[in-house]
Amino acid sequence: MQLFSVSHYFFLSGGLFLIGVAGALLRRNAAFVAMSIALMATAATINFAAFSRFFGDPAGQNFSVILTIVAIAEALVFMALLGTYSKPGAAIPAPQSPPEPSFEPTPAPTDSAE
Amino acid sequence: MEKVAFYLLATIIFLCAAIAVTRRNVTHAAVILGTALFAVAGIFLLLHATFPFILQLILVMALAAAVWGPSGTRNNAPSASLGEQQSSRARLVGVVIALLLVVHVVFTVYWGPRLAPRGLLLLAAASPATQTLRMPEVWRSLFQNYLLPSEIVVALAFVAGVARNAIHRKDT
Repeated sequence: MQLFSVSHYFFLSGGLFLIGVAGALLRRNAAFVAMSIALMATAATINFAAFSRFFGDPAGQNFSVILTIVAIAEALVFMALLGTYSKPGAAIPAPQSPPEPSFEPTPAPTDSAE
Repeated sequence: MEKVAFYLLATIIFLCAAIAVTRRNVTHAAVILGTALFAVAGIFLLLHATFPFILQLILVMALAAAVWGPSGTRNNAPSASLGEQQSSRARLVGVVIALLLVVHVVFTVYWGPRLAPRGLLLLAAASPATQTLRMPEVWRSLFQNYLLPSEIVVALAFVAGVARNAIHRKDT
């Protein structure tokens, strides 16, 4: 007998996804952003597996497997980057957006000959 | 028993995920994230998803090997996030997401069970499939219907492994 409905797993993955979104938006360190993305991928994986279980379709488990392999690859690369760049006092910055152009009028050139 | 296991694992997952995201030390955050992923493996076991369960365990082991391995973060991780500052815009996003989490929890605890019997939550009415999927069926489906995505993903994992070795060699 199954005591749960799929909505339990849906809410679990939804909460996990929200935590991942919060981490990806709030942290500036690229390692934490990578971890947050891994959390979001894990939430999607739970969803796939739950829907596969409750609807009897193996496609959900297949996508879950594919997502987990992607998460493994991501963990390998980011942790290697972390080991490379974790020097004393150094942080791996997340990519920053370029500064916004200012729309102030440029001052007119003055005549220096006079 | 299954219900207790689900709520226990869900609590561990939420707590560990929140701590991993808010921690300042990268190594500690990675270890706590590994704990959360291990609990997710338990969720897969509850869902009778054997193949994702095994892969999730491999993911946890890969994370542990990356943290404590030859190019891990054991050297000096405490200072990896120095200089991190929260801007007011980021705080606003944090407040909004915290509110969303509160709404999420309230909806789950109070309104979810009340709405489910009325059919307003359509997903709640879904009952589990009568037959549990077995690994040969998953394998067959994976290699018949999703051969190209699985090949691409395996190639991606291979490239990631090569890249990890290249980064490690460059570091040493």
